[in-house]
Amino acid sequence: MTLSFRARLIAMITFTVAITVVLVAWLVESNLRRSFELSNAARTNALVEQFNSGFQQRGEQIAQRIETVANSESMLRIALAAAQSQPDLSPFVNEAQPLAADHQLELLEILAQDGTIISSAQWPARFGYRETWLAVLNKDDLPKKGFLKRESLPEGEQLALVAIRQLKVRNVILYIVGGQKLDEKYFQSFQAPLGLRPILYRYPGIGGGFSPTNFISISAAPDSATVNKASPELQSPEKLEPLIEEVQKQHVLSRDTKLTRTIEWTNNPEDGETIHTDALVGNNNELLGVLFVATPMREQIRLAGHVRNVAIAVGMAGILFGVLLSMWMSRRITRPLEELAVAATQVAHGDWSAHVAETSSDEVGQLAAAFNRMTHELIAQREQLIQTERVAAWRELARRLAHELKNPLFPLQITVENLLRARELGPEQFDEVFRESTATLLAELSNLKNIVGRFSDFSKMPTPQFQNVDLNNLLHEVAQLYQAQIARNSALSVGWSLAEELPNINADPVLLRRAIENLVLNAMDAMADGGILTFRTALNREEHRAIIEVADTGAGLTPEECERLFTPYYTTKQFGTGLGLAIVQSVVADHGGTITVSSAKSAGTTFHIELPIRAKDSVS
Amino acid sequence: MKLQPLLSIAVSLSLGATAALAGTRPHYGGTLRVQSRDSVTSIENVWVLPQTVLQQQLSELLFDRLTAVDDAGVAHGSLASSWRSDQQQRVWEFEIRSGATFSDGSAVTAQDIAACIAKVAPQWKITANAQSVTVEADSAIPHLPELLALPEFSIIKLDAEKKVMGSGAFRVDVFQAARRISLVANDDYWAGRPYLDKIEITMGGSVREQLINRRLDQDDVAELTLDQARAVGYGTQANPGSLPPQRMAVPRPGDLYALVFFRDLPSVAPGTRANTSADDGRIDQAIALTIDRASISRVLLQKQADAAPALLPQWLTGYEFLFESQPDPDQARKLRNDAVRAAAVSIPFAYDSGDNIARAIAERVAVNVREANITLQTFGGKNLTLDSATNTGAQVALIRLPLASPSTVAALFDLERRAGIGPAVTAQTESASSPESSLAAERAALSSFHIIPVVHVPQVYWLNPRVRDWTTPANGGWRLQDVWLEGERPSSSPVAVLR
Repeated sequence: MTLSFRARLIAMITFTVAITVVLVAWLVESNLRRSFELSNAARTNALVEQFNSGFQQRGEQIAQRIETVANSESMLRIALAAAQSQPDLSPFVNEAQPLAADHQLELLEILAQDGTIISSAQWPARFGYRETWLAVLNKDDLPKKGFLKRESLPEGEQLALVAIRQLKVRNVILYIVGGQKLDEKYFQSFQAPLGLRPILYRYPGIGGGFSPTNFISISAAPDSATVNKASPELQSPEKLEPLIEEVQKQHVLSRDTKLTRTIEWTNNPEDGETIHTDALVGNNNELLGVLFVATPMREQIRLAGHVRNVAIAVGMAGILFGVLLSMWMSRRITRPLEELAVAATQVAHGDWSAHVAETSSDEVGQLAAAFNRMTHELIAQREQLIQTERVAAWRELARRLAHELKNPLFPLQITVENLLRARELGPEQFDEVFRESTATLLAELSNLKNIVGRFSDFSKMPTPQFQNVDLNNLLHEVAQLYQAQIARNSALSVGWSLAEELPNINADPVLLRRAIENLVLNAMDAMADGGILTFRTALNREEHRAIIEVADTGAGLTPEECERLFTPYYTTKQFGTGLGLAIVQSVVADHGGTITVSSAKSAGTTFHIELPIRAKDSVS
Repeated sequence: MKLQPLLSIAVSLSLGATAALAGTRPHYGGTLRVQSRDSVTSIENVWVLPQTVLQQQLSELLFDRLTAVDDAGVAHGSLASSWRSDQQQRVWEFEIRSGATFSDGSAVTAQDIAACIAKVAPQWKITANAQSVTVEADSAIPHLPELLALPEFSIIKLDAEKKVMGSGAFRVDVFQAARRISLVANDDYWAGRPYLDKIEITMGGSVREQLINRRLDQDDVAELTLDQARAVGYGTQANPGSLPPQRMAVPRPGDLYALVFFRDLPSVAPGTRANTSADDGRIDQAIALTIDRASISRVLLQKQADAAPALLPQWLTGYEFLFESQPDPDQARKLRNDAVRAAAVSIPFAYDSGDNIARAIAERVAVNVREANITLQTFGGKNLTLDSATNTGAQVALIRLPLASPSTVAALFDLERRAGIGPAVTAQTESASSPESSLAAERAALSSFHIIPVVHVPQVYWLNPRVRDWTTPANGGWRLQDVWLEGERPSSSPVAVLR
C-alpha cells in the first residue's frame, strides 16, 4: 500500500513530535531521579554524620562518667580491698549496679587486673568470670574515647558503646568498663530525617552466622523504635544478608564499605528501599556491625510514575497537537500540489484551460506559476497550431478545389475555344461542333455540379437521429447491398465474426450505414484482385462499448498514409475526393465513438470502430 | 497513825515488785503478728504435702502427728504416747494418747490416725486397734517414728462441710487466701493451751510494707530474705552504716535451693541426639557439673548460705563433705557433646519471681551452665512451688525446699518424696538404719540427677523485742507453743492451764 504524500507528511511530523515529547519526558524523569538520588545521598550522609557525631559525643560522655566512677570512693574501697595481701572482693559483688545507676550507665563492670569480673551491673551473675577481650587491649594506651564493643548479656550478645578507665592503687590495677547498649533505645535518641530509616545489624560473635534477630530498626515514624519482627518494614531481614556479607568482604579486603543497593521487600516495587551501608568497627578495627540507612522508594517511584503519566498525557496531547499541526501543515503544503495534480490531470484530458492558484512565493508557488505558464503556452501553441492547421486545411481545400475544378475547366476552356473557332466553320460543322461542344460542356458542368455537390454534402452533415440499432443486422444489410458486386469478382469473399451477445445501441442507422458502406467500398477498391472482406463485432463490457471491425486483405497502407487517412480531401485513390473517411470519422464522432485504422503493407487494412453503449441500450 | 504510811509504802513496794516480776514471766494472752513472704491459697495444700516454709509451719501449728522429733533428731511421743516394734523393726505398734481432740471437740481415734497414714503411705499395711495403730512394712523401717513426725503424716479429719480439722495447738479462725490467716489458740489442746491467744499471719507482703511495719512496731515476727537480713545487720559483712543490730532468729542453713527436673531432657532438635538412651542423665549431669556452688554461697549470698553438694546439710548429716562440690566444666562439655553433638540445647528454667535470692541463684546457674554450651532460659514464676512449676512450661526449676525434720532419714525421705524421686530410692531411705546407709540412700537419690542441690540457706526471722521465749527448731521455722508476748494480757479470763 502506498501512502499518500500527505499521510507520509502527517506521520513524519507526528513521529517527530512524539519522539521529542518522549525524549523530554525521559530527560525530565532522569533528572528527577538523579535529583532524588543526590538528595537522598545528602540526607543519608547527614544521618550517618549525625550518627557518628552522636556516637562520638555519647562516647565522650560515657568516658567522663567512667572517669567519675573510677575516682569514686566506692572504687577506692574496692581497690584498697584488692590491695590486701589476701583480698576478699566478694563483698563488692553488687557494687557495680548502684554505681551504674548513680552515673546513668547501662553497662558497668569492675574488673580485676587479669580481667576477672569483680562486679557487673549488666549481668551480676557473671562475677568471677574473665573478660578475655581485656587481654588483647594495650594496657599502656587505653582508648581515651568511647569505642564499640560486643558485650555479653543474659539475653545474648549486644553491641555497646563503652569506655574504659584504669584505677591503680599501689601495685593493684582495677579496670572500670561501662557504657551504653546500642539498642532500640539508643536508636530512639536519633531524630532521623523524615523518610529515612536507620537499621543496625550486629554481627554475631565468632562462629555465628547471619541472624535475623540481630537487627534493630526504627520505623519511618520517628517515635516508634522497633526490633526486627515488630518492625513492619523489616519483614524479610534475610534480604539484607547478601549486603551484610558484601560489607564483610569489603572490610576484610580493606575496601570501601559504603555501599548503595536497592532492596525490594515485596513484589511491589513501591515497598522497596534504597539501602546505604556504613561499617561499624571496634577498637581493633574488627567489624561489629553495619549501619543501614534505608530510603523508601515509594515517593520516588510515585513521583516518577506521576511524571511518566504527565509525560504520557503531554505526549498524547503533543501527538494530537502534532497530528493536527501536521494535518494543517501538510494541507498547506500539499493543497497546491494537489491542485497542480488535478490541473495536470485536466491537461492530460485535454482541458488546457486548467489553472492553479499561486498562493505563495515558495517552491510550490513557483511550481504553480510554472504550471500556469506551461498551460498558457500550451494553449497558445494549440491556437497557433489550429491556426496553422486551419490555414493548411484551407490551402488543401483550395488546392483540392483548384485541382477538382481545374480538370473540368480545362475541357470547358477547350470546348469553348473550339466553339469559338467553329464559328468560322460552316454551319454544319459548326452545328456538329456545337452539339459536341454543348454535350461536353453539359457533361463537364454536370461534373462540376457533382463536385460542388459533394463539397456541399460534406459541409452539410446532418444531425444524427438516434434509434435502436442492431449492429449485426446493419452489417448484414450492407453486405447484402454489395452482394452483386462481390459476386462478380469470384476472387472476393466475405467473412463474418459477429458477437452474439452484442446489444442494440442507440445510433442513426442511415448515417451509420453510409459510414459502413464507405468502408466496404474502400475495402472492395483495395481488393480489386480479390481477397476477403471480413465483418467483425465485439462487446467491450468493461468500457461499455460495441466494437465494429471492417477488414480487407488488400495491399495495405503505409504508416504515413494511416496517419493522414482521415484528413479531409486526402486520398490514395486516383479518382477520390478524400472526403469518404473524413465523413466516416465525422459520423462516428457524432455517435460519441472513435475510429482507428491498423494496416501494414501487403497485410491488409482493418478499420476499428468503437461506439458507446448508453444506459438505455440493452445489454444482454 | 505513824504505822499507816509505812504500811502503805510496804504494800506499794510489794505490789510493784510483784508487777515487775510478772512482766518477765510467761503469761497468756496477746496476738502475735507475723509477716510471711510466702502465701497459702488453701488450707488443704497445707495438709497434703507442705511445699513452702509457711505451709510447713502452719502444718506444725494446726495438726499433730503420731510423733514429734526434737532438735537432736530423736522421736518423742505426740498423739502416740508410746510405741514398740518387732525385732526386725518391720512391724510397729503405736499406743494412742487419750484426751486428744480435734478442733470440733471430737476425740482423735486410732481409726482417724490409721486412715491418714494409710492415705500417705499406701505401701504400708496400717491396722487400727482400740487404742493403738499398727504399721507393718515389707522391710525394716528403723526410723519409722521419725518418719511419722513429718508434716505429711499430719492427722486430720474432715468436718460436715468437708473442711480440714486438726488437733494442733491452734485452729483456723479466719482464712483469706494468699492474704491473711488468723489462728486462735486451742484451749483444749492436749499438751496445754499455748500462751498466745491469736496469731495473725499476713502473707505475701512487699518488702516495703514489711519495712514500714517493722519500723512502726506493727509486726512481731517477720520472715526476712538474706539480703534483707544483711541490710538489718545479719552476716559477716553487715553494712556498718545501717540500723543498729536488730533482734533476729537465725537457725543453721537447712532449706535447700535445688534444681528439680520435671521431664526428660534436653530440648534439642529432632534427630540430633547422639544416643537416644542417653538423653536423660547426661545433660542433667553436665548441668550439675557446671554449678559453682562455692561462688554462689560465698560471693552471691555473702557467706550466709552453705554450698550444697548434697541434699542434706553438713551439720545434719556429717557426711555432706563426701560429695563433690567443685565444678568440672570440661567434663560437663564432654557429657553435653556426647549427648547431643553440636545441636543447641536450650532449656526453660523457672524460679520464684518473688524471691530475690532465687533469681540471683538462677541467673548465676544459667551463667555457669553456659560453660557447657547449654542455655537455660530463665524466667520468673509467681509463688513458684514444685506443684506450680510444672504448669509453667519449665523443664527445670529452682525450688526452695524447707528442711522438714531434724532427723536425717526423715528429712531425706521428705525431700525424695517432694522431688518425686522414684519409690526404689525412697524405699532405700526408709530402710536406712545408719549414717552409712543414709549416705548411700542420698547418693542414690542424687545419682538420677532428678534433683541437683545448690545451696542451703537459713530461715531468718526478725523479732520484735516484746516477743519472748522464741526458740527456733533445728530445721528452722517456728515453735510458737512456748512464745508469749511481753506487756500483753489475755483477751478473756485467764485459763488455768498448768504447763
